[in-house]
Amino acid sequence: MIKTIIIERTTLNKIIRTAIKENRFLLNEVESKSLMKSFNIPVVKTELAQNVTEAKRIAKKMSFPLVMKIVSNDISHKSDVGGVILGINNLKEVESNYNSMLAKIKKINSEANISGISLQPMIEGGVELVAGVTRDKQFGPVLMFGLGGVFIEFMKDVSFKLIPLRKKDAKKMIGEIKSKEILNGARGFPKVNILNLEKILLDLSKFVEANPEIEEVDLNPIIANEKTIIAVDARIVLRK
Amino acid sequence: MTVNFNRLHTMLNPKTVVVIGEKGPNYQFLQAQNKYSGKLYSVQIDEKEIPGIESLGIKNYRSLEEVPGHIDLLIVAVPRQIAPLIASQAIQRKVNGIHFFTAGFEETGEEIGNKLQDDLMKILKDNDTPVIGPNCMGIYNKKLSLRFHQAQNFSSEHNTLKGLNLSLLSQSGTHGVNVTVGAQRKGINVARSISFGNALLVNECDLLEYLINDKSTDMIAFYLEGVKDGRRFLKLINSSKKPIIIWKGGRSKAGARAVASHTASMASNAVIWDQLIKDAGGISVNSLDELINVAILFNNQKYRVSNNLALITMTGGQSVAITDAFEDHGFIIPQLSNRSYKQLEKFYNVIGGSYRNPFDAGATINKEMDNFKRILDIIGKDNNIKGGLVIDINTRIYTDNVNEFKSFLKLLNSFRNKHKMPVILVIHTLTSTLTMTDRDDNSRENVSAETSQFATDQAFPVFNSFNDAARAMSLVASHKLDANI
Repeated sequence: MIKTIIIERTTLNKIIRTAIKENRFLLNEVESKSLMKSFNIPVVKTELAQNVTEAKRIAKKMSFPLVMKIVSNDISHKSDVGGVILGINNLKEVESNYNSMLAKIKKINSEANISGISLQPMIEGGVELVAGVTRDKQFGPVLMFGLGGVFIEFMKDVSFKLIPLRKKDAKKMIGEIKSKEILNGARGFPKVNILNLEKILLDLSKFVEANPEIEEVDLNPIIANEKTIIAVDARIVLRK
Repeated sequence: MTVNFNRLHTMLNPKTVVVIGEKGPNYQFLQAQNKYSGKLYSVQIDEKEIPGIESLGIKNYRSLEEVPGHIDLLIVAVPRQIAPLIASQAIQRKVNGIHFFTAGFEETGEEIGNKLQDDLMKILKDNDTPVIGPNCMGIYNKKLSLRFHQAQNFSSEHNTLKGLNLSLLSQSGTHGVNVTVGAQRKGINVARSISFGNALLVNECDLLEYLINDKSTDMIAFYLEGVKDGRRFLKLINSSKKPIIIWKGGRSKAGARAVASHTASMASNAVIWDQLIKDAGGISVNSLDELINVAILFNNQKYRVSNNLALITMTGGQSVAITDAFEDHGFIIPQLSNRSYKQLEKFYNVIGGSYRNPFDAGATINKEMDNFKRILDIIGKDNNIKGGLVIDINTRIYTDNVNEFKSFLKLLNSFRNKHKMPVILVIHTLTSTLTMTDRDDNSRENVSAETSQFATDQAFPVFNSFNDAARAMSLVASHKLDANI
């Protein structure tokens, strides 16, 4: 047990330390997920490929369909530049998409420093939720929960609570979003396991409590159903 | 830095006030104290100003040293360059507390302003002296007739106000005056108003803590643009048994940071503010009018507003409008029981009327005042109605026959006491006077104001529109139902 904690702290420090040393405050997807995982927050297994051969090797270990995403500290909104491809079904598609994605992005933004392309299994069959953290000027760190995916920008159906989050806060914030009936399986949506959801919110709060270096976290979307809950994208910003 | 609350108390309830450096021709602070019950002195060395001060009947001294006795409150109105010097002299003179009206410090963003504020801080920080300001209007205390603006009137009707004492803390002097005056007009006793400006030493949390423990304060209101210690602020709100109403200015998006993450872009100041204040058990409002409307409800709140309301209007159109307004604000307007409906159908005039809730009652009541009593009895005994009664008043009932209006209010008064439910009146200036074709618009306004005042004096909450009533009532109904810290 003690050993585990030491390992976690090492992983964490290394990612944060490296970023700070490189004068970066935005952690990339692979770094962000690795940090989340070390705090028991479920994230989709994601690996970085720096060339086509690596991409194919990683893909062989995963079960299709896959998702490929660009990993670059200079690209914040990946899907806006064609940096996200869903539903990759075989190794041939891995290879062709790897090359075309790189070519496309270099055309749009030739200056961008690209670390590679990440591969991860495509998760389907759940409700898309969001959990996040930001630091309010007056109140300090606050946690957000709401309906996620692309809907967050349009629906703005979210709730905020102070960090540290208590169990009753987690319950309350889940209950006070307008679309809470969706979580209960309304209108054919997959039912969400509320205990899993509470746990992810509480663990996210613990993560921020333990790491004062964190400025913002975005877990969007988190895909949840009755059995599982998992973040398929993660984005962490460090404090300046 | 902890505030000495004993000295703060003395400062906010002073027996001796000295105003230093005030200039004519207005002498705002000296003039505003023309009814102050304690001892008032001036300190001024400018020969040109002294005659003007003495002509007000106020004794002037040429230095703080010369002022006799203990000084509970020093109001500083000197130019900013000499504010630090006056601060040193005040400490030497063992002044109990200082209010700096003087402006021109960090709020200017100038280098000199920042430097002078730092200088003030250096002199004051290791001292026990409570300091309010700089850059603010300071202290209003109704009991002592200590004012910062002459508009903070004490006409005789204001001295007889019953109900709760409201105390206001304001980051703006203007709103400090406006809330005092506006609330008094609406029948609320404003015990204190404190404008605290840059909050160099005594800040909004210190003052809130003082008011939570203050015997002359029953409810607390704020005008704020921000708080220095958000966590302490929430804890204090949560600890308070007194209602706390907070009007926050600067809610627009411009204040929010331009950031890339979803969480931060959702987290506009106002969204987080409203949610955290509500969770702590405070009431967040968006304007002076809302602040006063909520205070009106607390002021007259022997019985708490809650859900499941009865609505009475005098016409069909109004009965639809009132129901829309209340349902839009989350209220349930339930049907009555079958038993009630059976009783109502015996006497109710259904040609041009309706009793389903909302009530369109004009025809039935006009026919016979006794019918109004019968309606109230039925509503009061109906278990479906729990949260209160809202009634739309046509001013005609007041202008036609004041005695009739009196007996009307008397019925409503016995209704609320018997059934332990609040009664809320709506007197809409435009529509309630429309039938007075013989009046010009000016006199319509007067009739409406008079009718409202008459009902306010009988301790009824009166609102100018269905929406105003519904909004304020919804804030009060949900207050502390789910406070959560």
